[in-house]
Amino acid sequence: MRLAAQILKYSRLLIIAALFVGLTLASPVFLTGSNLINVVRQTALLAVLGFAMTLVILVGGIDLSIGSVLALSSCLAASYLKEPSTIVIGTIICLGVASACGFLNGLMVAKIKLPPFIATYGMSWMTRGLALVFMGGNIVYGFPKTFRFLGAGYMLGVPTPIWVMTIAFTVLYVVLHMTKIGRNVYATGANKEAAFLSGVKTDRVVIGLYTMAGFLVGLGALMYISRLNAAEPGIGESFALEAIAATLIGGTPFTGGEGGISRTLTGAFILTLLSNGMNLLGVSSLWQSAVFGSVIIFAIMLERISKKLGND
Amino acid sequence: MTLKRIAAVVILAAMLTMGMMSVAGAKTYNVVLVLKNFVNPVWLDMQRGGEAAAKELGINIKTLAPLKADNNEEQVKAIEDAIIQKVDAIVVVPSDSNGIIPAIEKANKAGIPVINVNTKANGGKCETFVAVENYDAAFMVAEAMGAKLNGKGTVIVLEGVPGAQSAIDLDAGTKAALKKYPGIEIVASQTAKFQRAEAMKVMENLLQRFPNVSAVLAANDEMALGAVEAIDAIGKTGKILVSGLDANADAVKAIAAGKMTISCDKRSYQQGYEGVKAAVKFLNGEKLPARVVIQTNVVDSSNIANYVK
Repeated sequence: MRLAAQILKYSRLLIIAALFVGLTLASPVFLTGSNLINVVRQTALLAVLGFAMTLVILVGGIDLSIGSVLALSSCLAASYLKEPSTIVIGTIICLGVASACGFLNGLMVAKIKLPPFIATYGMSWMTRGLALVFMGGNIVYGFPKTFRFLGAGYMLGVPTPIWVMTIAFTVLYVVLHMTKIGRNVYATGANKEAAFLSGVKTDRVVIGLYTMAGFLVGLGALMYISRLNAAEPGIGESFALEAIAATLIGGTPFTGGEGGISRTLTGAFILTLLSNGMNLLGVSSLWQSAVFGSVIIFAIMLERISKKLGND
Repeated sequence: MTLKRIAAVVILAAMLTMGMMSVAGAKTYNVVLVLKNFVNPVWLDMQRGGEAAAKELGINIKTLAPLKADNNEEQVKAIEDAIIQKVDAIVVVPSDSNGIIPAIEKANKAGIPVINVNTKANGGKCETFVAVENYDAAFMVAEAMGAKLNGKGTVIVLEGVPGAQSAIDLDAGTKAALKKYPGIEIVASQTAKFQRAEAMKVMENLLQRFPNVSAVLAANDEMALGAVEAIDAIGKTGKILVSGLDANADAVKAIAAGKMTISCDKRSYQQGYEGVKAAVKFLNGEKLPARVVIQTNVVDSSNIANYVK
């Protein structure tokens, strides 16, 4: 039993291994350097958004506004990012707007005590609406090379988005696992009242996490529009759900206080591998979303079983 | 006293009649135009067309679209609200050919005429259907692409939202035209859900397997532009030809810059214009044909100058 529990604990790595073996056998192109780099590059955005989602899920929250905040911050910044001379201003606007939305989410959750689901759902409608109003149905298309470097460029032979993801991961990992701030986050997530009574300023932790999530969404917005070479108010409608999927498949539960961003990285990688594999194998369009759904359920079932075995 | 009374009645009656006559004479119709969304430039062109027709014909128009793009519920609500406000006619572009039926039936019951534009509603009574033939448009584009490839090579097809009627028709048109060229092989046919970002991702993956493909045929311009970015990233711009449909502003720029090869002007402005015009014609008692077909034009380097603004 204990052995089984140990194996299941690493079930996600097993899923990745199985996908690797299966896809290598099925498609001669899969296990090539250029395809693997392609997969990791596609993982980058989902991972960064997944990190944002994981941060708030760690304290029992959720952020449904990720996609809409991404749309609003990128639309407000787009016209500045289009001119090489104002890229810095555009970047500050994008990150600032997204962080401010995150901060507002945090305030609503921590101070006004709105349920996170409702606060961020409202935020999602508001920001999407503002993005539509601001753009008036137009699309900003064609960014300069300097800005496109972030989403479509290379540094030392590795695509820039992969660098961005790695840096974001490292910073968050160090803060969450090696500092007092990180300990306070996990304590707040596991038992907010106990943490508060032992001197943790839990409200500040929650507001800080939502703001940080907002900042990461802003970063994701820059990566996204720079890669896509266009900004429009309709983008990212499915991002919140995809970020939740990456978090859950990775194995961070909704209850808070456990899990972390390294798990989310694996979750994002599994999702991206799947879609890459289905494209390479030419799986019919009609089947793709059914496959995604079953993998999400399968991964979470494994998680439950491993927990049960671990407790016995 | 009686005389005064009679005079009062006469004056009142006269005033009423005059009032009614003035209403009848300058009766401005109120028409509601319901679109799929305010995000895709296609619908904005259609809105401009509809509003231009309204201005020309001297009627009031209100344009509505779901906040969540292509949301059927919101379209149904918009129509229900229009019925309550007793508008004179409803012009609708359904997001969901079946989902819209109950709303159209409600309008039928309330005696408000409905004009169907662009995407067919599968039920309820519509006075006419103003649209391009998606099948024909996709056929024309694929035929033109086949000619550009001199009838040989390998191609990738990017499909629209699985199950949507427009996607089915566009796909059928594309594939029927490619059948005319036995030297052309479709090596992959995948959905990118009419979205640019999705198309970029799908193309990046497909280019791993088919780096030497000759052309990509996308069912709309948004997907074609996603493919353009993926092709640009591996430095094959111009070597892999790309076609789309809609001739939206970005696609026009991309064709002018040589990044994209073919698109198709579905004349969204004209569709909106003719839709509103048909509504007014019907209200004025004219008989409408069952179908108003809007002609499409293939756009490529030869006529792109007419489209660059």
